[in-house]
Amino acid sequence: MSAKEACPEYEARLEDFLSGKLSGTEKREVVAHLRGCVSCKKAIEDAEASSRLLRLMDVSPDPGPAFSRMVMVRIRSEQEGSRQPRGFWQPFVSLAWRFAATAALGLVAMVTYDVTSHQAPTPSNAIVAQQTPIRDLFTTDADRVPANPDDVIVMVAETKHGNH
Amino acid sequence: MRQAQGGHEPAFEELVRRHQQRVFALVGGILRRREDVEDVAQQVFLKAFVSLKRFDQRAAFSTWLYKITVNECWDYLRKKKVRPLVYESDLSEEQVSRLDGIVSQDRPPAGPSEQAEAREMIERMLEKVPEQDRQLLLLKEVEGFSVEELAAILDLNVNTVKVRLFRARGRIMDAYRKRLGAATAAAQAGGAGNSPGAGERKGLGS
Repeated sequence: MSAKEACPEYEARLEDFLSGKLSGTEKREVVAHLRGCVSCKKAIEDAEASSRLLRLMDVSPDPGPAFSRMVMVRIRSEQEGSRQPRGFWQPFVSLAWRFAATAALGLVAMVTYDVTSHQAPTPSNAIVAQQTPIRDLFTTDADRVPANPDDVIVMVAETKHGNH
Repeated sequence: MRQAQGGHEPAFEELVRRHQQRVFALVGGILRRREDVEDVAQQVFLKAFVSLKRFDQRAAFSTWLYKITVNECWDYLRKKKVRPLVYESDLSEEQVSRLDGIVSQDRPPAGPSEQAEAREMIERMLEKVPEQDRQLLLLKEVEGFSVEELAAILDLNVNTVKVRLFRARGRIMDAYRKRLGAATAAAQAGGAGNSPGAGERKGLGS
């Protein structure tokens, strides 16, 4: 079952009728219409019932006197936040701080690089050094077998020097 | 007002005191969540304080403030993506018949528990009507805003508000009758076959 739809030209007036806002003449006119129109009569009955239904709901509670004080506290704290001193020198001071921070960071990076580059060979480096074959200066070139491409270059160079 | 516009805090505090109840009612009518109302209402006054200098006094201060309130509520609902209140179980036939007794006979609820039960049932029915209808009905019928106030706050024509309100009334009564019909049918079925109560069945009448 669905609510009867009121005559469109009467809907607004029926809302006024329900709120008791109609003048004598308007009220009489609506009452006369309701006597003859089943849809509008049903719609106004529904509207009255909806008012009774919704009257059972609670009105939002009064926030009480503490609320306005809380609002003012919040406003003041927001204002404090936005009222940070920003004098003439503020942008320059801020820029100087940023420059100092960048310089400090750069200095730290340079010192770190310097220290790591002069460190003693790490164990892994030492192992590589041990594994590099030691060139035997007393063996003849014919007996020497190049261990890696670098040795080949060295041997060729030595041969050239020997020829000279 | 001029003092408040000049940044005089006690004057603004007086404005807050004068309008806080209506702002609470408006926020409550739109959000329907008690836990959110105070926070949003505070935010409304904060925004009003910040933009008070721009208020040109062409409209009433209350209308200007209520417009801020409505916008703040909609922002809040959008940002928080607040889900509407959803009830898991439906109404039992006993609950509906008690509510029908109150509404059709226009008698007051027997006590606080019946009042609380009636409120809960109406909240459930309000969930079945569109958001705009629900807000209009609650603001007009529960929170006591006039049609003219609602038209000014919502930037609508007065006649449009009246028509929407009148149609919304029909819709909530449709939802009410569906509940009533379904509960009656469930009661009859229960009497005939000892079926479980309608309270356990979901989606009843929807």
